[in-house]
Amino acid sequence: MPGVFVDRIEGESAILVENGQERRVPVRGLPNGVREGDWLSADLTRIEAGGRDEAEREIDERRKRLSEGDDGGDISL
Amino acid sequence: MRGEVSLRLMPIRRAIALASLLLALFGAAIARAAELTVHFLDVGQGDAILIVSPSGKTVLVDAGPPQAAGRLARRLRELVHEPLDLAILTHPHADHVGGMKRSIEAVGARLFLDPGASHGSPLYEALLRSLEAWRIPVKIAKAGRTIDLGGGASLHLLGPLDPPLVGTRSDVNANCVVARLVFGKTAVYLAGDSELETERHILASREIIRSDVYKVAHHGSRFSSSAGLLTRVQPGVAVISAGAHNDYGHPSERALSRLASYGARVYRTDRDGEITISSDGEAIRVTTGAARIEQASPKRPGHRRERHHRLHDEAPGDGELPNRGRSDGDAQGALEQRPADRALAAGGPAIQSAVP
Repeated sequence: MPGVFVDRIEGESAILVENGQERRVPVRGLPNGVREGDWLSADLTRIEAGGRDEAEREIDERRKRLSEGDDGGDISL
Repeated sequence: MRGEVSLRLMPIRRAIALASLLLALFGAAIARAAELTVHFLDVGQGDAILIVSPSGKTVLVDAGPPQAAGRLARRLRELVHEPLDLAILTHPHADHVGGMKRSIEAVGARLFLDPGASHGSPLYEALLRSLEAWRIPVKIAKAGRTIDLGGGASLHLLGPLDPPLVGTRSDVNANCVVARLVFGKTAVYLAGDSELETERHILASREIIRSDVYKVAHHGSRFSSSAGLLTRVQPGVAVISAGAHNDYGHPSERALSRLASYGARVYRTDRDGEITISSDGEAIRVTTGAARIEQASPKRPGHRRERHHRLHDEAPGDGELPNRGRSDGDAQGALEQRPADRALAAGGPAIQSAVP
């Protein structure tokens, strides 16, 4: 997913992930209604429609595949 | 004649003395090996915790932010000499998942425990891709699951809750892995970045949460560590993992003041460096300053300080701690006075200093 990911909101700051690194910007500088899990355009001016759902769906599917053998019971190391 | 006997006995006496010495040393080694150790690694603004069970099983809980990944990997290579028995991600925010891929790359892992969060983070996605490529089995964390760490230590998962919490300030935080690490009479409460809503649900579940050590939720954010939680956890020691001079105001004055009012002695990675808790099942010992791997904070002269926290002896309280109700499920009564010996945990003397 190209663009910038909104990793989390901490008070007045948004922590973005871009090229694998964290970047902190003021929330007020971002499009209205931005929330964690959103994808933004590279210049941070708009929310990429569908980006959020697509990224989450991909991750959910991969995780489901990876955890197929998990019986949900207690674990012994 | 007498001399001959003496000569014959000497090797036997020596052998007995040597055997006694070896037994003592071996016994000491066993006693030392039978400890649970929890390293709160200094990764700046984020969490990374390494648990070493009494049987030597290793569990990494979170791996700090991406900017500390290299330094964390180096520290793990010093501490871990076989693949991690388990890597746990409490939640996929960058300050917890950022160094996970590199850590597993550095030392390996036999099993991964995932919080099952819906969060489209590219760091999280890259980690899952790598786990798939490395064929590391993945299990999903859920409240109620127990993980046997061997040697009598176990992790009891209190979160994520099922069904997940929605509509909170941060659903990713609210549904993070929360665990209580138990060894003998001692326990460590690992709060992840849990939110007030998480705390409310855990309190309502009536699970046993009383713990000697509290890994303060969300780096000491004002949105966590409620009075209700602290009343039930009753920590003698609180550990805050936060970056020096961070921009988030962590830890918050509000959280620090609450912890102080509950008599918890606070240790902070931003001030103390790496914090290590050791437990023999009866009492805990805190060591600080073993290693600093945060570049942003000013270098301090290397020092290591140990503080023993005797939680189960009969020493009287120092009178500075408030008497608090104990309403946990493991308490004998609904309002049992806090054991006075915990006062030592808050004010016990530093008994040993050593250069690392």
